[in-house]
Amino acid sequence: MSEIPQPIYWLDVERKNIPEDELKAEFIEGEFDSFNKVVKGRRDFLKIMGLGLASMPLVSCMRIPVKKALPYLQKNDTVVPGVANWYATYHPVNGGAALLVKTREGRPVKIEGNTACPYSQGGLMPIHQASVLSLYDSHRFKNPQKKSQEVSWSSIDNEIVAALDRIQASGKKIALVTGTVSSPSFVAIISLLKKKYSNLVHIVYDAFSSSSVILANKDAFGLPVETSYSFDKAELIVSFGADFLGTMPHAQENTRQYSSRRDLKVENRMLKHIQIESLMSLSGANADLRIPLSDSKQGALILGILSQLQRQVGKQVLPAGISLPATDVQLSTKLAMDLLEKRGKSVVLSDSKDKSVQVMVNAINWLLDNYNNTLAVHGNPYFVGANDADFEELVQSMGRGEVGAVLFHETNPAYTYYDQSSFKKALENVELKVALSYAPDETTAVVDYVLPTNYYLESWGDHFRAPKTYYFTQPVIQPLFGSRMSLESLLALASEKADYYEFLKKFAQSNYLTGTSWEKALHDGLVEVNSPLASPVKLKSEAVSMAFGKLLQKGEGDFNFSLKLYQKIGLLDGREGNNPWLHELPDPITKATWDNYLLISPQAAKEYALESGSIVTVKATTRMMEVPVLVQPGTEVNTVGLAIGYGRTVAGKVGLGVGVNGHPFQAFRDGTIQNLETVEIKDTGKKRDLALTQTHHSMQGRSIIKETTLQEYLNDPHAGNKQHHSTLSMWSGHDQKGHQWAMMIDLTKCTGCSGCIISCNAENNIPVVGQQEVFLRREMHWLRLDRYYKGDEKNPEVVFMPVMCQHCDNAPCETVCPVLATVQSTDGLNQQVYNRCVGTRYCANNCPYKVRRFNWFDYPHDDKYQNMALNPDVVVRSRGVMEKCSLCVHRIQEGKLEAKKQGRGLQEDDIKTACQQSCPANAIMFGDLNDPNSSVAKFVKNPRNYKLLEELNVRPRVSYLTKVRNTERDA
Amino acid sequence: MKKKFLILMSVVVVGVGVFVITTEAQRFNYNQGYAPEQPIKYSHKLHAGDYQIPCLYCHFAAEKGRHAGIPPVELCMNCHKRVAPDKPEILKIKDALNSGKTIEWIKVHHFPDFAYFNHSQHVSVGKVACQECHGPVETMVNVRQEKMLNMGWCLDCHRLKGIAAPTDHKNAGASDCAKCHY
Repeated sequence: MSEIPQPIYWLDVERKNIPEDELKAEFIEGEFDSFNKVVKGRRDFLKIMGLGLASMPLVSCMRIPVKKALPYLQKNDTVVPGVANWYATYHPVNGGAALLVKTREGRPVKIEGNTACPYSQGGLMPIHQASVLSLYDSHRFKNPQKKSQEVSWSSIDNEIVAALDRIQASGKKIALVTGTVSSPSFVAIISLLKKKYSNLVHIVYDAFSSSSVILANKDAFGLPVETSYSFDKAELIVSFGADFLGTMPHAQENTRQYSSRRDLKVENRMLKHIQIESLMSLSGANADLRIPLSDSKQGALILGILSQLQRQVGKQVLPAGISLPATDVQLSTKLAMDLLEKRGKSVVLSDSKDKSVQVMVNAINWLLDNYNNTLAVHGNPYFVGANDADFEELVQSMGRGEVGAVLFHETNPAYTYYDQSSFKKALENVELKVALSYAPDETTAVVDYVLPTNYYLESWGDHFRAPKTYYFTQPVIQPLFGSRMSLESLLALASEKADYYEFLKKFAQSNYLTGTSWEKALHDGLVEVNSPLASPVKLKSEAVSMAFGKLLQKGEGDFNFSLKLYQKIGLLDGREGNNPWLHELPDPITKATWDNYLLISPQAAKEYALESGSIVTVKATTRMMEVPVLVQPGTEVNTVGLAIGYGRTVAGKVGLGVGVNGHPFQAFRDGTIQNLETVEIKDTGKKRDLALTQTHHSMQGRSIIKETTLQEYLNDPHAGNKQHHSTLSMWSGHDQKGHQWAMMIDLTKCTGCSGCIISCNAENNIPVVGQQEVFLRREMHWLRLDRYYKGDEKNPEVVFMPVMCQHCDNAPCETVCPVLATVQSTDGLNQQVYNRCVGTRYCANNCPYKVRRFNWFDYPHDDKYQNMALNPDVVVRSRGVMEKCSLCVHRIQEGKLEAKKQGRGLQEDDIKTACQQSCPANAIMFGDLNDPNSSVAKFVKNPRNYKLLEELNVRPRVSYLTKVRNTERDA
Repeated sequence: MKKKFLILMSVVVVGVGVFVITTEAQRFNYNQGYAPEQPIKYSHKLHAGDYQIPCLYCHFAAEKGRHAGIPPVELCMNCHKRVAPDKPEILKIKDALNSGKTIEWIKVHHFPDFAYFNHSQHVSVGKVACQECHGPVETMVNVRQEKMLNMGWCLDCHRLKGIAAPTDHKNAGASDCAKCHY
């Protein structure tokens, strides 16, 4: 056993240089304050205990209450009590995701990815998984409303149609404002509406739009669409700030493709990922090389690369004889050479909201022959993407009184538009204001008529994904409230006969379902249609010259920091702002819950004497707000970041009062709404706590991450994992016969997207505890995602490590439980028996991995709607009980039972844990160690395999595969 | 005399107390013998005993899933459209169907939330007869809880049938806590 120096990992800037012993806080300040207020001393304590004792006989005298069993009157043939039905559907959010929805007795309880989808293959991001809880939001609209009074559907339809007829006759504009449209039947309904109301204009507006990409593709190639990527065909990815693994549309598909090319279990090579960005994004955290660079300097670097490339390739795209803005020539040359080496096998992408930058990125990809290899622009008549300029023009014309009616279809500009006061003022000039929304928001508060819409899980719908996939959304539950499908409401305005289901069926059958039955298409959730072969793209050089001119005009801002607005992986643009799962999901990088904050670099924090929690005023030319800062390693020194999606003023009780609204810091420039603004920062001297989970349940800096570089791994597969411990045991060990379950997590593939956490939440009825309890380290997530930094705080390397109960064979928790509430099962699981547990918490104290969670309260289960999202196969734990990951034992039981019913042996695919199923990166394996065909049995001897804190000899059943980076220097 | 009587009485009271505690208290809270009045005087003896209708005709879900299920009201009418359609108890079923308000049966067999029981595991895979747990239902006019249905009773059977570890590793775990508690 040779001693190998371990790299030093750290958790956050404040604690980076504190010796680990001093971090071990035994008690949390003020944890029991509420108790101490009631109980003032020994006498009070005895009184309360006496009361408890006296009430015991009373409680024990009670008879078990009479329970009733209510049968169905008429039973649907497909519903068997206690048996789940699965339906394929589609969630049209953030690019869209194909889903399988698990329903029990007609209620959706869990959402998983549709494995039939050729793109995502079953992976799913948090926003899609958490949507099942939004369905049961009791704050949703119950009935149509006219000026906040409930009215009937027929009267509201008649009134709106009459008003629209009148406005059409008067010659004023009618505006229909929607989000990005990818639904062919929606496009058809809009043309029906236009036929009836010739004054109708369709305006597409998104809170955080892809307008710059769409316009750049339109300018460069004549196709106003988003770019589709095939990261699985790439060998080099150069991303300028684009968070394609986290918040970009189709993130689950990108992650699946990306991870499939970083799988050392399959091939001995990895794609290389270079990220150049100002804020630390999830993609940046995964990059092999990350270069902090402010957004304003990225344009010059992109131009530098472009000019190098055009010289090398011999195609002139930039105007001849021009001088380029100054940039790091060494870096641009290196990137250009790297890209050229991977010509046709590379991807360059950017998150810039500046169209000119996107045109340059297109030119680079075009010069590299990447189009139709690693990325593509597919013409798609059914895609109507966001155009910020159209909405800007609408606000202007509303202000001028040219608009007679405006219909907001599932968009919320009263919250997301940057200039809310002028928007609301302009809206006052509009005669008819209608909003279609499923829940109250800022826009529904300022309109006359609210047409409540079905949630997507209650709706029909369709979506076309160029080049050839046609998806269906189908209802999986009857509408809970008196709402109506949004497209049916629009159809009601367009025609006499408003039956969207019939409309969709006819539309799909005549356009897409040739050779496939309606039932088969709904069963699969998608159909493949014939599509023309990809046509070669031709770059329009005049677009590049024009964009170049625009880029050169860029001036410096007024202040020394540039504020960049970004999205967090949970809430994204805030449309699910009332979803508690998403609020409590720790951000994978900052580990913050229930808040947004100003990200600032450690250098700038030192200069301004700020630390995490200091409240500052952020001031732009016309706007100002107070917000706490969070010192984020890796942030570019002149950049600060603020997440959008917070600071809602009209929402349910969950979303109200959480964070601040960053949208006002956007600005309309050069045809798009930009997310960059120069600001000034001033310390207010005030402080506020941030609910961070990064130091909760941590393992006190022991050697837990094992990592190496690709080169070292190829030289020696044991690299980074040479230190092993020979351990002795006092016990003879458990009998290892029958099934022996084990889990394996590939740290190289895990991107930290946190999909597993929400999946576990939904599957195991994990309660939400709220911000105050997170302060006291009482979050209940069974699966946590540890994030470690390594190296320089200006630009650290990041490692993610999902940690759940490790299911030790020599479990330290088991030996200290006085009531045998946690014991080893014969198939190797560490079982937690809730009905035996008396809550001594010895086990949590003795657990070296800190994965046990204690129910300090009976967490609220009093919302009769939200309770419908509970998984009926997993018990809801009560106060005073310890709980933890069960390795989805109910799924193991279900898989075994299904195999037994079919009279066959168990196969690997029969059992998938919730986290494993939803993992977009396919980083989690689960199976039977005694089955030689299972993947865990195959890789248990892999040189990369290691166990967490092996030296403790607790012999966990969960193991990890070392993190391998594709970097050129030593680990 | 008075003292002797007191001593005797104390012995009797204590003796009865010990007897009750040792025999009866085991059954405390298990509801064995519970046979509530149902809103419809449905007789299992008549249907399952005299007319020999198979249990699974009505409780069809027992083969397929976790719950055996109370049959949907409409299922009664498969026969009762023609058989005794005018009897007062049958009229209650008709009323339920017409009014859309289902019948509120009183649950006989309580099963606590913290334990998981799957009918299909026992009926389809284990081939256990319904009567082994529910008693001779075909003789009961009013269904009662025949067995104790506590954990010891479950485990007794698992051990007798030899499916509890360590006898049978193929089906191992039939005595593991997490077989039922999760």
